[in-house]
Amino acid sequence: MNITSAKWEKVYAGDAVLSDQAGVEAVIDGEKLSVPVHADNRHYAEILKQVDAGTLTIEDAD
Amino acid sequence: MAITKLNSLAIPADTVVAADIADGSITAAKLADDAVTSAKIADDAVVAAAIADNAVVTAAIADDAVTTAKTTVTGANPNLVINGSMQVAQKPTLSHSGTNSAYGEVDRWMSELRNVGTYSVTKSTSVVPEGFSSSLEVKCTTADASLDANSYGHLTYKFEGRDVQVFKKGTSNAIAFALSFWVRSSKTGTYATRLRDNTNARYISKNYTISSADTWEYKTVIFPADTTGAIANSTASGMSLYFWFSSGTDYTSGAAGTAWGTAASSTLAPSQVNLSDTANATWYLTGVKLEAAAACTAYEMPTYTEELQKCQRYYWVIRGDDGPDYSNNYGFVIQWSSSRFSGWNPFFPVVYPQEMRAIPTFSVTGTLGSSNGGTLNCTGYRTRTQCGLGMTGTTASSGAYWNMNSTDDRIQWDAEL
Repeated sequence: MNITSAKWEKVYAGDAVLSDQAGVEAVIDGEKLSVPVHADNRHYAEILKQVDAGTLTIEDAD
Repeated sequence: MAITKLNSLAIPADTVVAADIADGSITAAKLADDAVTSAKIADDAVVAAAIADNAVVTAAIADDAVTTAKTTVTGANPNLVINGSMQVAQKPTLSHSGTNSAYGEVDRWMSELRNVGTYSVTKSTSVVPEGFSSSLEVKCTTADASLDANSYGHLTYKFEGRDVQVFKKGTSNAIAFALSFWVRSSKTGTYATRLRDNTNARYISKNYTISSADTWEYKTVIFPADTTGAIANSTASGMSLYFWFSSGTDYTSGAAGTAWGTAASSTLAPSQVNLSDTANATWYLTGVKLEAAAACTAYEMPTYTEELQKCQRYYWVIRGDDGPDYSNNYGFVIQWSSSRFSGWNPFFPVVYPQEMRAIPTFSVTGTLGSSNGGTLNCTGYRTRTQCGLGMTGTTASSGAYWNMNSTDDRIQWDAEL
């Protein structure tokens, strides 16, 4: 997978932020994806792999 | 005085032997009821040819007389491949090149390339074998006649680990892998197919031959059982099935395997022909069946609905072309009646059609329309069965919405392996 960007996503209840690392907004193979924080998800597994390898950094959520 | 009749007392015991009795002289009418007991019938004396058609009626068969060992009735084994008939195609058509792995139009089938030209992967409903409605078409749209040694091109099907426990791999009772499929190509020759145990990185490759160009052929390949390496019993990828269509010499120079192992990469695609050397060369596949058996059984065609439900465990989509055109509103809209303040994040529960394999990746493609709706996203919770679909960062107004305004708009959930 070619991951060109990754940024944490927030999750809300109304206007309250429940978590600011609830998912990762990533551009993978040219497509913008909302990736859950779930080890069985292939996109998240690849993000973790590239982060561990030092080739990808997940930016803070807006 | 002539003797005209002898009673049994006049004939000493053992005087009349079998040789003295003419063939056919003792008819059934001359035998008293119950005169021939089973003790008088030698083992193997009654052969099948001596039993008239319909002579053995059900009432003459004792309870429990017919055991399983005496029957030869066989049924088809379950097919472990989902969408082997290539009916379900929820995804957009795929055209790719370079080093890239991507799911094509047909659900569950991934195309994996490394520098073999450009390929399209689509569903065909016109090039199909008799009895099938669909096939998967792989077409080389830009040729590469001079492959790098490490180039490859193959289709990959990934099984969940828990779906392949039936093979009892890694035990002394391991069962063989019987693969059957229909295939057709513009290029004849030797092709390679491979199984990989993703838990233990063990594999085996086998060849099959396409004999006639542009002609459907039915193939069977038997991979032996493997008593080494149990596959993890989980929802992760436990085993992969590969169909090669192009390969560099790094993978083709070895021989096909006779047993599972961790052999050199040269045996991954032994003798594989190069589909990439000709623009518009085609390779079609359908009717793929993998079963736990030493021999292949017939492909049992599932209904479209059955296959769709299974595929939706891995991927499903809301599409703009699913519904009618309501003045450029294609059947999907979420709206919120009032945004009193900017920055509110309303969401609406979406229950998936199937429990998904993993918590899915969410994405939106196309040109959806919006007013004051911020970003369309999973702004709320997300599980394997449902999510909160909504708007992040609405702006203050009398209302906010997102809608599909084009037939190519898509909202999709992806939990593929």
